[in-house]
Amino acid sequence: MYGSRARIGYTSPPSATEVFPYEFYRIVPPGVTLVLHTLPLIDRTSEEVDRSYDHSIGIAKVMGRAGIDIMVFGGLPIVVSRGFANAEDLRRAMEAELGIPVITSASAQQEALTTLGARKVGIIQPYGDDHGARHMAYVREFGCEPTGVVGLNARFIELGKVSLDQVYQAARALMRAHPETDTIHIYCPHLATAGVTDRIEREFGVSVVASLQAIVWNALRHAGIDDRIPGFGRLLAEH
Amino acid sequence: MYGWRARIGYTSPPSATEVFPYEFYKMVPDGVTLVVHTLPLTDKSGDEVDRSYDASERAARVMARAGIDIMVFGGVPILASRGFATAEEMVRQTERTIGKPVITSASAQKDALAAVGARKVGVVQPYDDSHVERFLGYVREFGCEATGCASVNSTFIELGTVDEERVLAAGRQVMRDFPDSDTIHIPCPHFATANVIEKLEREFGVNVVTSLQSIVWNALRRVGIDDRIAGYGKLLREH
Repeated sequence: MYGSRARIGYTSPPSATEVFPYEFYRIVPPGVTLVLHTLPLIDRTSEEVDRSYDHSIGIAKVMGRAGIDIMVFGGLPIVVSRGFANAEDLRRAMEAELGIPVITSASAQQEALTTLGARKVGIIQPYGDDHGARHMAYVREFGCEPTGVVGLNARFIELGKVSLDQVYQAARALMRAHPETDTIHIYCPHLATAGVTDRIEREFGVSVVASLQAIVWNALRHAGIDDRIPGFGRLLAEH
Repeated sequence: MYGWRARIGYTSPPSATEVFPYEFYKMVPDGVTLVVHTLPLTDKSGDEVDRSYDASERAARVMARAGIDIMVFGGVPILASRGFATAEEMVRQTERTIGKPVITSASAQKDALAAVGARKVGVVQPYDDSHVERFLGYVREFGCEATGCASVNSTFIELGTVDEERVLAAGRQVMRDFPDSDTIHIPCPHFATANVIEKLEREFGVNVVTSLQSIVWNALRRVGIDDRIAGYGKLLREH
């Protein structure tokens, strides 16, 4: 079987998922596979988010039967829709039930920021400016100080069309406006980021945490795979 | 965006999908992405198949909003559940609704068998012997003579754990038991088959047509990507 080293289960919020498997297979070493389930998110309505929470729990049990080595609950807004404390309770309860490690999009990003020693965090988020405050709150929840936020003004259904250059330009704008930033946090693993992580770190002398990179890193490490992987930021190359 | 040459939409039957995206990204050239939606199949029950039929139609409309270039309806048993003629009508209807080419797992395999000139077809199928007649029936539906079948004896939920050596052994068994076969057909794109295609073609001088290879080939050609791709059989290399 292809997943001889680790089979990583993941609930992927977009009903039509594109970027996650693409970047996943660019990053992971041979012998690691993704076991994917798409959640019913089309326009990211609160009703869709609510359904996705319960749906994720059901699917984790299916993944367990399929024999995965680690489960990742995807979708930060879904995972924390009933609070960050509840997300941690859910993670522990599922770990006990499935008998394998369970992480979430939230716990992975928290561990990534901590590991890199992030303190002053600038944010790139995919949507309009009305989503800025929510992402600033996530950063505070992760124990860091948000310096500022740049929105890419994409819509959820069109995340697959965002270009790497848009992300790079957002990083430039962010660093110009908030030069005290030590870490750039790029939210959402459903837009292209893997191809610019290294460049942003080099050019601006910061650390980059991208949701997908954080999830892959955290899942590999919890599955006991300690390979240092170059090309996608310090997190995977050094930690 | 990553899918600058083509973004291929696909409804993937297994609720926990593993092998399809893995083999897809082994085969396609740069600039081609998979936009995937998982269907609610866990144990392949009749109720799950029925729900998947309707879910597939809904997913196609979501995929169209996401901007895909071609839609692939996955799961021959789902398509066959209301008869192939009904499925064909559903495909034409969807094509009109979304304004993009639509193919199915069944039409891709039929076109692939025709392209390689298959006439006498031996089958390697993933489940136990109780599924043999169904798979021989598909081959006849695709316009070929079915010579016989070898079973890999897996279950649906465990398809991701099938070792390719088992598939290779089943391919050799088909050729031993039915040496008049000119083509080996390996239906179901959710177990590891990509690496056995060339081995079996070389060893026995036959064509090997797998579901996944057929779907990738047919989708690429239908969106005008004529790259000849080496390593996965005559179909992708020569047609």
